[in-house]
Amino acid sequence: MDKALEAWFIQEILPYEAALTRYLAQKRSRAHDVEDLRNDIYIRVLESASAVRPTVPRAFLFATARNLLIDRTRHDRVVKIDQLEGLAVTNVLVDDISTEQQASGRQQLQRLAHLFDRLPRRCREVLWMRKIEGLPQKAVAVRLGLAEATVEKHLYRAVKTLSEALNGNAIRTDRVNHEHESDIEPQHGK
Amino acid sequence: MSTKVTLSPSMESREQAEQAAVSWIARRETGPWSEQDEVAFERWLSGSMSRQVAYYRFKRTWGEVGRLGALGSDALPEQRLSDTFDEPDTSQASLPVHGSRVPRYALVASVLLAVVFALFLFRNEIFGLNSYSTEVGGLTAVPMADGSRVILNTNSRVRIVVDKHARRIDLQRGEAFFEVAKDPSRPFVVTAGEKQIVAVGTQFSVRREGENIRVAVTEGAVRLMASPQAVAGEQAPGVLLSPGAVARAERTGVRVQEQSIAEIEQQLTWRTGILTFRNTPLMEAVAEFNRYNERQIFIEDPGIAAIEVGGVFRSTDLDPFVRLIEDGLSLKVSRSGDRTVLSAR
Repeated sequence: MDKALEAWFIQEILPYEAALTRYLAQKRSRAHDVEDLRNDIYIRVLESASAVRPTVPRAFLFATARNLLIDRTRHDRVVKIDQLEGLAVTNVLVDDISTEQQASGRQQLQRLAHLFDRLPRRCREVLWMRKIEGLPQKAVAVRLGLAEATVEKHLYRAVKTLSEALNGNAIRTDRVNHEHESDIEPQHGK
Repeated sequence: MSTKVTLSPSMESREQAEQAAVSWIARRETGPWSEQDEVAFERWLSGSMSRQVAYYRFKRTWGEVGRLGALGSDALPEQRLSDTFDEPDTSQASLPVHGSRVPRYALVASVLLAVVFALFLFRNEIFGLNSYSTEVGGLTAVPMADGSRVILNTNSRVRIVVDKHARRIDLQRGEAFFEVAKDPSRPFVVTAGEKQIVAVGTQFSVRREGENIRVAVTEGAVRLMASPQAVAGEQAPGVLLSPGAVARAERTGVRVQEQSIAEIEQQLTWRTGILTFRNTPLMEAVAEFNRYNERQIFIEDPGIAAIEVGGVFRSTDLDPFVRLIEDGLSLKVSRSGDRTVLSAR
């Protein structure tokens, strides 16, 4: 296992996930597509970075995203002009991340707590017991009277939902967001 | 289209990779976790890039979730789990309670109390208490719940206790190398007899022979606290060791020597089952080999003890070393059972 690559990826690339997801959501309307696309972008980034680490990670990430989108758009043969034009706004989008990252630790914690509260009840219980209480899966299963496989599923759902909510700007919950492309405009103005 | 990404075994979907990633992350942290698990995990992770992406992403989220614990263990379980019971309980419907809500609330309250109480009880059970040891010639890696790793050398024994406030390793005998995951909130404390080595995120080795210890640092910094009685009445401040430092703490005091990282790494090749000697007195080389093998080597002739030897050897394979001595140094070697005796010709 490449610990250095792991650390690099987590520290240099993943903090831009919210911005990347928003960027992709403007190009693709289905959340599932966005997640697949993001996955492929990450894979490309990891592949390159395992050989040479890019000097400006976020620029590299968005360049990779843009290239992949162009590839896919060409492939789909439904080249809509606005799709390609839209790709040029990367820089603007990248810039508004810095403000996001400046949110204080306390605010982040509040947001996390808020999202945690909104998880389905079982997910919340399982995540709490596994992560905070540090209980093994079996113990959680016994405690909640559930099968281990069910505990495992709840945990996955909890982590997955939180991941998307924390970084993906809640693609799954607010579908409205990416229905109108003009969403980019206000961000320009900032 | 670039579909070279599907290196993944048996066309696993992204979601399957994600599900597995979460399970691995959680299990790795809360156990049970054996060496075989570690092997299986590494194999899984290297199986596809998609798995790595999923693993890294969720590991980050998992780490962030851990911060919820900072909101206070009192406030959270009750409060956040209290609305656990706000869903309509269908089993209640069949009971003839005539709409009286009191029994229902009582039930809810008692169940809630039980859950809270259970959580409270269980809190103590998470403080895992684990001992690991190796036999003569053994070598093993012990992954810790916090992401740190302990590599145990031959004939060694540690006890690992990790809780929310500290990571404590008691080196009961032998030698171990520590790769410490960064976690400022939980100091990483290695105890060897009366001595303590405190680290936050770093890599270092500790070797114990009775009450004498030797600490070598390859990364980060550690603080070596000698015996508390050494400084009468007050807490000994300890010695701060940075990379390249090799400290020997004995009854008489602590001696620190600066070495190059390369030199230290050379002394740490045991982590891969290898012993490296360079201009090493025969006596020392022999002593090293004797740590790893039941078959012991003896030097009969004090005159040959200082001869310098060099080379790279498997720590548990004596023959190449003995042959080198026999042929290269023209010494006399006599073997009988578990004893190999070296003397001048």
